[in-house]
Amino acid sequence: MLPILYSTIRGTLMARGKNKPGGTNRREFLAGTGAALAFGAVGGFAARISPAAVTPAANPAGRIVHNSSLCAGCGVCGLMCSLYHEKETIVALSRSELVREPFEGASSLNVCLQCLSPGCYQSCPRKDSALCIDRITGVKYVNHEKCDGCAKCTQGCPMKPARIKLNPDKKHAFKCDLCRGRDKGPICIEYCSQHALTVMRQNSGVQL
Amino acid sequence: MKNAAGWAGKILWVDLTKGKITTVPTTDFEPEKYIGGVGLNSRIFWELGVPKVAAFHPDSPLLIAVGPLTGAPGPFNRAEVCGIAPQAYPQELFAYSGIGGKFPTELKYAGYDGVVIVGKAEKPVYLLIEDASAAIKDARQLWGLDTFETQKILGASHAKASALTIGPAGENLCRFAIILNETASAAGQGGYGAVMGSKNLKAVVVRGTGAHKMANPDKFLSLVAERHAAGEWLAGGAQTWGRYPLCGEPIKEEMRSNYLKRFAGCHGCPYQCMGFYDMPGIGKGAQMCVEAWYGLINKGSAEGYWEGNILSQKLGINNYELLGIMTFVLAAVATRAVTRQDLGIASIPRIDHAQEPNFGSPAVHHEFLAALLNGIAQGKSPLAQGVARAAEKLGQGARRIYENQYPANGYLSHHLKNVASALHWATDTRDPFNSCHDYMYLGAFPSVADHFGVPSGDVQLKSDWVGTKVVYERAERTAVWVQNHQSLKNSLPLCEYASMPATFFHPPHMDIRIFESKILSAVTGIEYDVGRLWEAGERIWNLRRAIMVRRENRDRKSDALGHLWFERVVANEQSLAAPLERRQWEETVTRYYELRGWNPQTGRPTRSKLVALGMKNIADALSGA
Repeated sequence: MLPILYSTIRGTLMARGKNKPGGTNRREFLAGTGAALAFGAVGGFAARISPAAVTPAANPAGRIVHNSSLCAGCGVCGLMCSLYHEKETIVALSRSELVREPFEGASSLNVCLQCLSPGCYQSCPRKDSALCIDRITGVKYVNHEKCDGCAKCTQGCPMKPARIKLNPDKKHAFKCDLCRGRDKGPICIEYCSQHALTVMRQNSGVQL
Repeated sequence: MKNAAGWAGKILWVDLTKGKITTVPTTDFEPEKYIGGVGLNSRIFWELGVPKVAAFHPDSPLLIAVGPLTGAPGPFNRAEVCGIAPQAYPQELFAYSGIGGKFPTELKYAGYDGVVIVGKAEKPVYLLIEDASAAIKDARQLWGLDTFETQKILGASHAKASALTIGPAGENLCRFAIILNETASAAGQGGYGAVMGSKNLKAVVVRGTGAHKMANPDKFLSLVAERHAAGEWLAGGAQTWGRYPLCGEPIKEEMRSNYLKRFAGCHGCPYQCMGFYDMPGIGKGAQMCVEAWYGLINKGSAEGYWEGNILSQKLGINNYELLGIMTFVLAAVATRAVTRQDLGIASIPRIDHAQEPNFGSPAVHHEFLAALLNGIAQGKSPLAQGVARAAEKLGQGARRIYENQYPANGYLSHHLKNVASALHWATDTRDPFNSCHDYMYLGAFPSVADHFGVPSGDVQLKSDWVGTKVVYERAERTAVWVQNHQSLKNSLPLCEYASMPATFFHPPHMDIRIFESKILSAVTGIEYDVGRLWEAGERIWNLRRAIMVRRENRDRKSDALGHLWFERVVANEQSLAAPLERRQWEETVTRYYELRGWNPQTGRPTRSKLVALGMKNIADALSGA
């Protein structure tokens, strides 16, 4: 049974192709329904799910995991992130934040944990319109067109510093959405020359 | 040009004497023609009237510039420091030195293509740049501190900022003092740390929160994706010099297995060519190729190797000149050409029968290093002026040893192994260090050489890139090719490590200029084809030549190599296979001038050549000079 489940989800993910963030087309809807049927036990999956209903198994996209012992601290992840999403290289608009200590030879990466109980989503006054959860992958993402930049989500994020930030010029929130809709997956992982970034598929919701 | 992306659009102009800071539009210096980095700096130097002052004179400008590619992800994040270099010999020459680390991108994100610093502050100061605001701050508390300590203190008060700093060597006007960023990124050659010191400028601190804008980001991403697909983005294994010290086997193994903590490198670059080492009791820091200088002659211990490295970075001393000093001191003492008193260093190791430095116990070894480094950094030893000037004072025997190591312009030999690179040495204002790999690979790979119509087979990749034969034919073509390419690399900028033929962004079958022109077009929105790009490289080299002619009376006579290179094979594994033959050499120089479009008698760029390169303004001023 398990391999069948896996291939169904995988097929679903691949079928999504290049959907625009925030949009839901018929193909995705049907595919999502298929996944939900395959899971069986997850009732009402075709509707927008509530956080409580997200189980690890239904959250296959996972989250970015940073291996600080491999990381060289170059920051290509952040530059590529900003270039891909914002069409310009601006460190402040990168979805992840690299913290370097050049005299210690150490670095860490602040990036969204894709919480199972997402504070940003819960505090969003326009949830499911501005701050959404991908029905298939469980990724939390911002629909930039619908967000008015009230910043409640940044206060709702349990992490310090908050992993969802405000774009001061465009007046909307932004966060890591695992490059939702990008064929090759998250661009930071693709271009990390040190292999320090991976996606942890099974999201336990607990920080490593 | 008005709407071109890539460039930030302004240059910060700092007068330390008057305490005045202004900005100047980058467009005043024809950036579409001179790109950035060395090209832009040279153009600014020309606009300043090519000052004929000494390096430590207040009017001697310190020029720092990035290029249009700086700020984008990739091996583009370098700055070039230019100015009158105190290290050059027998006279100070206008030269350049590249630096990576975090500083270059921060400067671009702060909104500047360059910083021009003139004048001299009354008291020690540092320059603080935070996006649009810039200020001259009191640095009396920082004066005398080492480069690491200075950066840590500055980092505590200016979070996330990055700093160019000098150590005691620069403060004491040591002629080979470096400018350091973080632990191992330095503007090494030239002695620009001392130029900063002469201005009472301890540091340049910059924090930028702005953007690097591209005209065509999708095109840029697709070009990078092409290189990635060809396996050239993750080519981490090839950049091994810093990761694996150049020292001998036992120390190398010990460093790698016990002290290598992780890899490191410049901001935004995928190659991360450095190793970060942590040795308890001695210190932590990164290391790249030339920082391994001590390993080349140290037969002692890993501790001594690492102590030499960390101490020289902290004091702000050029590791590569230090290699020359170490070999000079050991040879001079061994042949009794000089005494300890002459050198102003109390403890100098004995040389044993095998002509290896014998350090005896680790204590002697450390004592020698500390005495040498501190003596140099505090200007107490004649060696603080560099080997060239020390040898002049220390007599004929010392002079002979110097000539053996230093082919031209007062710089230590490096990869002078074919006639083409000898030509480059003779016609540059410093060692062509950051182009030596082009010479290696052009000589070693017939496919690369054929592609560019240059001679091949005069360098062998096996046996440590030794020159195998002396080939004069078409050597001028190789030199011109590499010089134009070097000018581009130093101006786009593109890291030397990332642009070596046959590696990284430069597979053997591919003309790297195609990639360079495409990426520059994508970033700036100005259509550069290979021809236009190449013309820019040639233009930058001609502008530098015009500066040499106007400021330093450069002529055919001063385009010279030391006489030893015509007499015998200089005892160096990086040398020519046979001595140069005078008549053939002079013929090659003539062919080089002709290919350059310069006057073969004087070595001056002709007016028609400059006009053809779109440099009528330069030609007018040069003929009036």
